[in-house]
Amino acid sequence: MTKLKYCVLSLFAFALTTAFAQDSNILHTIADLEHRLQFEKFEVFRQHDARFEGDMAKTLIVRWSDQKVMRAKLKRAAYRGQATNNEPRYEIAAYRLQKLFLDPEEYVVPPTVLRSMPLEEYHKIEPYAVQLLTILRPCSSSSSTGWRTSIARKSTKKSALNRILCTRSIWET
Amino acid sequence: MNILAYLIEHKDSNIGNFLRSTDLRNALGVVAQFEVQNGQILPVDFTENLKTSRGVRQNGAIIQFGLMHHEIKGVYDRMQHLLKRVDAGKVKIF
Repeated sequence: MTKLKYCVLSLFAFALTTAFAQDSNILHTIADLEHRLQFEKFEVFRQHDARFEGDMAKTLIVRWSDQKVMRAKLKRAAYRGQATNNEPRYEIAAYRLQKLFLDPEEYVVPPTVLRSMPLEEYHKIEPYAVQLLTILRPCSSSSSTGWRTSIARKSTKKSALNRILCTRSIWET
Repeated sequence: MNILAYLIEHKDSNIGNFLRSTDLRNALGVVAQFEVQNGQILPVDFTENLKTSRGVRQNGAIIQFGLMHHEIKGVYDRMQHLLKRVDAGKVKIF
């Protein structure tokens, strides 16, 4: 019996910080960036805490399956996907809002998605994270926009959302 | 719709008169959605807003994220305020 451990919901966003990252990220269309962030597997080539040691937000250099390398930022979501100063839905809303009046080449908010991953996999990034559902947020170069969310795994609260997540956490094959 | 309203000097800024405001609701009411399928949490196409008064919603196997109704109205109101300041020359654009 293999336990399929907790799925991590991550919100992802790219930051174009260094010249290296700019050069690599800018070669891709918005659609391609969104698709990679949302669906494609990646490995973490390098990482560091975004703003200070122990920061939940991480700046990553990720390598995709086609060996292309990009810089991204992510942050675990808070318990149940939202918390004060940790609202990944705001990050996505900001990204989507600009789509109403800007052309892709004019975007000022980097592509940002919500993404899930197994906790085992996420432990490669943050070994002691115990969240069941983690939503990654965006990253940005100088300030911002990276984030991620998470929903705690061992909650005793009985909300429907939590039950669903807990159900997933004990999923077995 | 916005530009047409502007061209005919439509002065009524009622939210219902602007197509873009409808877009705001569509674009921001649901910003991410997942479904639990066979032990995985997968991104899926958006469905209707499960509850406009909540930001993180859940119904069965569906988990939905979006802005609440009052948050969307806040975005709209701030946009109008900003546009007024631009029109008044208080905010420079380039």
